[in-house]
Amino acid sequence: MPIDGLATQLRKGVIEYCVLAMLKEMPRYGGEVIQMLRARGELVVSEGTIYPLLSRMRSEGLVETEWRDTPGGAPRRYYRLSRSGQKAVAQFRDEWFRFRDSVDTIFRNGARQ
Amino acid sequence: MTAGHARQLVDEYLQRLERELTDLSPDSRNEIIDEIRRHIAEERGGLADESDAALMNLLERLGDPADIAAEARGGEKARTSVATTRRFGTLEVLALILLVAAWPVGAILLWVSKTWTTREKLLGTLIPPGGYPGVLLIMSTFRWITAASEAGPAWVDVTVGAVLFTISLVALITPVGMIIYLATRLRAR
Repeated sequence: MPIDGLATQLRKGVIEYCVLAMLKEMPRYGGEVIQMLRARGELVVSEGTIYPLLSRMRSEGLVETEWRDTPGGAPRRYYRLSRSGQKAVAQFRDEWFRFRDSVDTIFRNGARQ
Repeated sequence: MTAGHARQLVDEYLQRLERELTDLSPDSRNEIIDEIRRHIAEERGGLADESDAALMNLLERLGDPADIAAEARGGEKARTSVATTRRFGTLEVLALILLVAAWPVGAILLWVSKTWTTREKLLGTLIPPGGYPGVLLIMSTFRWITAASEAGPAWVDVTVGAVLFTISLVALITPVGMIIYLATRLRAR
């Protein structure tokens, strides 16, 4: 695998769950999710891809949406975790920690064994 | 930058996005375009100075419309592939033939197939109950009903005859109708 494609592949695998995890505490609108991702580093290259992702997660039942008025602005579509979305986040969390620990162990000790 | 130029940049971007999304369902397409349009409007509102460069950075951060479309299609593709596995094969054709020719076997195949919905399977099994063997069994009782009605007044005899004739006609057409219905449900997928 070419090494510049690697970052893209890794991002692709986790971005959906990162977005779901961001909706865990409270419902958020798309722009807010994008701002949070932007503040947390290199997770998204094309910010616009978050919208089709959210739309897809809605049709898969992972999130639910509602329109909310914003003072002095146009209404925004807020995304909220559904029950199956909560389950998906919890599952990913467990899986991710196991996965991360395994990779960490190999990179820390692998060379010595 | 002039307001006209800014609008042109945004319009061009949204037009490209719309073109890239043409193969999507109208619902998904409208939702994505609408959200991106709102996003651009909000971000522009937050710009201290709306220079050409600021607006171009904003659009660049959003990304190539082709990338956005690829993300959108990622989900739709997955859904179409699920739908393709529901297409019909030998099992479904055999089920339809045997539903007429050898009812119990046909009905079992109908339930084995994953192509029809439970509602369609129930309809296929119960209308008519037992397929042609069932219909013939029911029609074999008509003889006794006719025999009994002959003992009564002439108008009873005629009415009973007409009713039984209608029922027979419907009963003979129904299985074929049901097969046609089930076959069209296959083609609908």
